[in-house]
Amino acid sequence: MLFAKTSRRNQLTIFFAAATLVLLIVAAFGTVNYYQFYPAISQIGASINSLQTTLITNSPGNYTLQVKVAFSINNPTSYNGLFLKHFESTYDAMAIYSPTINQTFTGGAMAYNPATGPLNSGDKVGIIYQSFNAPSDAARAASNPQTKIEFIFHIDFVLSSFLDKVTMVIPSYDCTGSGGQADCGQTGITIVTAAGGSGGGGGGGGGV
Amino acid sequence: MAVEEASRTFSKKLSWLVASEDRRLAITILLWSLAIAASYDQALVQRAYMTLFDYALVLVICFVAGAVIMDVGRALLGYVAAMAIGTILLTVILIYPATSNLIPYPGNILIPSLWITTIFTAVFPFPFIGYLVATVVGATTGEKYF
Repeated sequence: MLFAKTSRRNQLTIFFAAATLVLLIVAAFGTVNYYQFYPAISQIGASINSLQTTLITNSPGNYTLQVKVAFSINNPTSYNGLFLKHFESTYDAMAIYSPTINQTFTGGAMAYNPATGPLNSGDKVGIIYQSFNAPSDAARAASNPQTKIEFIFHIDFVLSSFLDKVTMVIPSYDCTGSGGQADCGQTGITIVTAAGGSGGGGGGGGGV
Repeated sequence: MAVEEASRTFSKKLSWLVASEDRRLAITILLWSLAIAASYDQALVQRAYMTLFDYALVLVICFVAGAVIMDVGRALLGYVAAMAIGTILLTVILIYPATSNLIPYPGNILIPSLWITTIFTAVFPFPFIGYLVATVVGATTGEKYF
């Protein structure tokens, strides 16, 4: 009632203040989520869910070491709005002959894996490599029961986010395992500006 | 009764806030800069760019602010001040978390510079001119009809 008696100019001022308040509330929700973004990209977890190796004897002295591995990427933070877009990995196999003697065999790039999925708060995306053969030298080394074979996977993946228009976020991890489950340590975050963007890449460092 | 009393108190407070043109201008600039910063902020933290709707929203804000000021000269002055305060506020809000040590060097340098570029391209040149025109039109409308 009193509002009706207020001048039109003051009514407009009240409307302006109310609209600003609504905008501030809407922006606050987005900003709170945005403030979780940087902790989220540095805390995105990666792990080896399972790693199985099978040594096959083709003929005496000729072995094949088959590897099956499953990774999982998870978002333990409260940030919503991440998406796993592109996963890739290379690997090395390390033969440990004794605590002081070991040999590393380069495995190279693993086959393209089309796994994608949302990484909102609490989400987990699984990446499964059905079977691939380790380098023949590693297979030969594995044929010796005294030798322990360890795999070092260097994984990185593109995280799609609200920043897609201006930049691409690519966290990198190293995962070491000889069987079963293992956690991966983040080795860096690469930030690549989008095509037509304003600057070069960056990132790296950090890690567990 | 209590509602009547509360609305009377509110009316008194409002009257004090807009008692002089300078006070009204100061209040309007404060609201204006907050509204501009909030409009840009909600868009940029969701998708890092402004949609036509977001630009239209800021145009309406500038029109209304101009209408409240009801004076073209003061409205222009207010617009420059509101845009400056709003942009600085927005830059601080967006850059602050990126400068923490969560992002290793040189990412912690790259992200803030990306934000500055994003904000700059989202404000200049056409949106800035468009908002200016909306402010002038708003002030003219305010002078005529309020």
